Amino acid sequence: MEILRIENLTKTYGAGENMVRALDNVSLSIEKGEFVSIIGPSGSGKSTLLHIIGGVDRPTSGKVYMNGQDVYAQNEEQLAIFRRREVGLIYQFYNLIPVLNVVENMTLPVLLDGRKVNEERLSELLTALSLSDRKDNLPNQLSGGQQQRVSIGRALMNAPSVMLADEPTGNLDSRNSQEIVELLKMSNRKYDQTLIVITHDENIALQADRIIAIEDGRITRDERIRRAH
Amino acid sequence: MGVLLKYTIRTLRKNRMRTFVTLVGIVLSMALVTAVIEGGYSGQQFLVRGTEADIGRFYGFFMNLHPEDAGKVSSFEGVTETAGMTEVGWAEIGSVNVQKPYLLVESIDEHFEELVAVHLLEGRMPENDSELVLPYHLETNGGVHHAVGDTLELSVGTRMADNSRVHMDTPFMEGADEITGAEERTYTVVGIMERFSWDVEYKKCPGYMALTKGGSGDSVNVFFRLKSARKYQDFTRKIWFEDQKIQSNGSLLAYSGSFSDGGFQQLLYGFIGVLVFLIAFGSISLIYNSFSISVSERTRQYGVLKSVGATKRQIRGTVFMEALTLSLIAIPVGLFLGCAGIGLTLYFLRDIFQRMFDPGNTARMQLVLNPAALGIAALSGLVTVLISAFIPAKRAIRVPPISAIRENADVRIRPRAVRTSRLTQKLFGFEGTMAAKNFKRNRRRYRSTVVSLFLSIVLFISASSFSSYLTASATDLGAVDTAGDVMVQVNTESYDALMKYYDTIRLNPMTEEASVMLYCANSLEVPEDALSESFFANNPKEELQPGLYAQGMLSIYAAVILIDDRQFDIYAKACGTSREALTKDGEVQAILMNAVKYFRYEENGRKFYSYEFLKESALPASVVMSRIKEIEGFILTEFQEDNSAEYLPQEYLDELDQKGMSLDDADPEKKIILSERDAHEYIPLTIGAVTDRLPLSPVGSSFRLLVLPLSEEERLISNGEIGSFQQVISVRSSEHAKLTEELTKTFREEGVSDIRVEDLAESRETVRMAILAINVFSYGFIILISLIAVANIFNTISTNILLRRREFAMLKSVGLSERGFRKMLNYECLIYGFKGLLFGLPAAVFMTFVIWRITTTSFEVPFFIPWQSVVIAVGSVFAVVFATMIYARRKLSKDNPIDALKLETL
Repeated sequence: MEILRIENLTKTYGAGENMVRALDNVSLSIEKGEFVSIIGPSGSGKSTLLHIIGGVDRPTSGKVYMNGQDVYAQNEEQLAIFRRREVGLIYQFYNLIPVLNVVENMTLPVLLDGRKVNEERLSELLTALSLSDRKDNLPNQLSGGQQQRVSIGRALMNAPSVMLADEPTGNLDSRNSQEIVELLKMSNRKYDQTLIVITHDENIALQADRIIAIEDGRITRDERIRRAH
Repeated sequence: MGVLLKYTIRTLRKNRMRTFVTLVGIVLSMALVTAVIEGGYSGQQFLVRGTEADIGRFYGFFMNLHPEDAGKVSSFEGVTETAGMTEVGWAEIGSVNVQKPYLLVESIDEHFEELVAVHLLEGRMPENDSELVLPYHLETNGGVHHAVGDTLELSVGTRMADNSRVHMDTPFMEGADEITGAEERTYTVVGIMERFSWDVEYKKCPGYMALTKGGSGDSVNVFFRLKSARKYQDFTRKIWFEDQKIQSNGSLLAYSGSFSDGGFQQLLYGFIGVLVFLIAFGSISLIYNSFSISVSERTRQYGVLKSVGATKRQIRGTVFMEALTLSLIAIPVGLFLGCAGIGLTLYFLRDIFQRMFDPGNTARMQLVLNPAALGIAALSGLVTVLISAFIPAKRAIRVPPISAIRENADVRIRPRAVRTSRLTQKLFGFEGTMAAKNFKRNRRRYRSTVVSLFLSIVLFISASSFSSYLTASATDLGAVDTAGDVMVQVNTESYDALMKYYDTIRLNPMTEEASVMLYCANSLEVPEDALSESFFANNPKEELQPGLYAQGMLSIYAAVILIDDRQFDIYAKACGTSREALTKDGEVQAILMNAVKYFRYEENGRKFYSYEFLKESALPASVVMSRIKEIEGFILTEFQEDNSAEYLPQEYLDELDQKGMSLDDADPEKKIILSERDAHEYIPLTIGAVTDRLPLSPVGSSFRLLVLPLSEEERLISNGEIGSFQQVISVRSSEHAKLTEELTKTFREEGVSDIRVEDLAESRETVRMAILAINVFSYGFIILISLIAVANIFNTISTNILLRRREFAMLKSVGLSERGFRKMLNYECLIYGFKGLLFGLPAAVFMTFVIWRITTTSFEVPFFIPWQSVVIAVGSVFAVVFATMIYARRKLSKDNPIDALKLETL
């Protein structure tokens, strides 16, 4: 089942001579439950693609359909709700709110949605993320790996259908990196979530079901890796 | 919203310093606004109470109503109280004032005293129609003396003029005014009261208003009070009666807010307007700035919140909560501090206000709280805070989440925009160039700092101008620089009478020292070569008249005063001479007060001038006092073009007067014409000594003054007639208030009316107190507004620097030394300071001009700029900027470059 379809997506910055095409007429389709890694050199446009999918940046032209819904046909209010329910974003620099503790940061999308926190799911995630004894800590009291785990927890809390991770391990050492990848893979399998990861790390890229390479704003390679589960 | 509230409160707590400064800002502004509003309201209430006690609580009265109509007034819409005053009739009273020959007997009803203020000086109010209370001015103005207990036989009748009935609002009509149908009545005087205010007893009313009770008549004045003073004008515009005539209690209405009575009111409102404008400007900018900083600092966090699905409304909600939390704490505190502050100030200054505005001792200045005004102040404070919060929030929310997270929304730099001059590079090196580039790069941030500097400069200088102009106006109101605590002005024709009064005063036990003085200003002819150079410098020779008496003399206006001998001896001794030394050929020579000091208003303020009148080397100097000659039996009627004088015989003038002829009809044969020189008499005087001391007299130092002992009076006074002299008795007494009261009473009881006792010490004190009050208010204001300004600058600069933490760390990591870093920041300070001053000073001058224009609606004050404050402002700007920089730098230098570089959120 197709969960995400992108049609003729273009994103430009600047104008005239200085115009930069970050994305140039990109089209692609992703199935539900797929684990996709996006690779490409710096400035190739992969982050832009991810942000546009996540509803945090706007395309210059083209369409993004999530579950058949045209994402950018929604108004700001609907877009915000889309962000909190449909996608989970993970950044290289964790982007936690410094004055909120671990639990508060993790439950932020649920709380913003005005719903009650599913305590069972929270403790399950805390355990899975090895953050159970760090519940009340503020971000600046955590290590980089821990902070990234919190941001993953935040992305998973709402059980979104699509997880987007922008170099989630870029700032971490190899041991922490592998842990994070395992976590992402686990949730991909366990909750049948679609997972799209931008990475420079070949090890991580090769663990995906599908690798998409981007160069100068265009998809240059799109291959499925066949392996037995 | 729970998590967002938590987020808000924790953010506020985390940025403790800025939260504190913002709170202080809101508190200060609220306190100032509250103080101004409540102070103004209390002042207004004070004036209302004072006027009610002084004139009465009525808003107006219908004049001359028919008794049948009089009863209707109480049922008119809006009328809450009424009181009646019935015209019993008019009687000849034998007054010396030809415009006021009658006694006007009015009968008051039982409500009269509730609405109209009656100030009894002696005795009691009338209880029936044979008792009468007389006004005191019947004696002081009309010269008719009656004491309490006297019986008065009056022929009371109807006043007619040109055969029609007229009332108190018709002035005396000479030749046509008469009283008809007079009846004999007997009254007992039961009290003496002060005259009614002009609102009640019209200035030109031809009768002295006296009160009785229970009398009848066919014309009634009905006093009324309305539910609201603001309804007054509508009320009087309606036609209640044919030919209605309504007299209003103007001051009470003006103070109650009905309509303005011009000058003072306008000045007051103008100043209050300027104050509120200054406060609003200062506080809005402070509150706005701190929110603007707080919000832009959190742009990134808003991005994160948005990316995890916060809606615009939710983010606006956090800003709203932040604003509300701050308001909830600061507004009540501000209201309380404002009320407490103004309450205490008014309490401590209450005697001053009493002296300044209400010498009648009837009302007390105190804090009167107006809940509605407090509510409005609180609401406007809240609205200010909310608006200040929403504008920057709106801007931050508009940024797409990913740009906000990357913090690249503001950064849109073109190389040209950050180009700096080679001069900067040469003068300040690389660090200077960096500082200048920083400015150009981040215009919005730097603009907010310059704007707050600008506002601080404008606020401070305007507030100072405000205070200087107010002080100048107050000084202008009463420049009293004379000796003596009590001044008694006498206006008698006879020297003997004056001496009698003098004895009365001198022998009073409270009098410590007294001196009598006769004073006249005349032409003094002085030999040209005796005048000093500084005299000519101040009085150009071309503008002086030549003397009449002899060649080589100049005619100069000067005063001659005669003081009693004992005082003269004291004075002579103080001047380093003595009467013996001054006596030549049996005549005492005059002492000259030679150090003339005066001030003149000029372009850049009040300027003092001083000069010496005569050269000391010219002593003893022979001068001549010249004055118009009086010819026995003749009266000077006219000066002709060549200054020769025309005299006519007294008898002939009386004759002309009786025939109703004017001077133009006079027979030229009867005239005596004397040339200018002959029309003057010349009194030679010798000046034997000069001094720079003033004698005990009410004459100030702006006069050229010759002092002679009273025993020399015969040289100046003929036949003991002193009508052309000003006669003053100066008294030194530490109990000046009591002495003034007692002397006034004594002379009143003796029926003396040509004397006025004035408490000079009191008036001097009043002026001093007024200036003190103004200073307390304006310095309080300046201090508070400066605090707001400093908080504002501190807030903007320190955050602007702390926001660039990461960037500084980067510079340090590539090898910027501590010294270089300091240099860079110092250079930034200079740019801030100069930019602020560049825009601030002209704007401040403009504000000063506006304040000056408002002041000149009531007072003649020349335009001036308070230079002292300008210097202070310039100095403080740099002091505050540099102090803030140092504070921020201290915080920064604790940073380890790598930690700061890694900082991801601030």
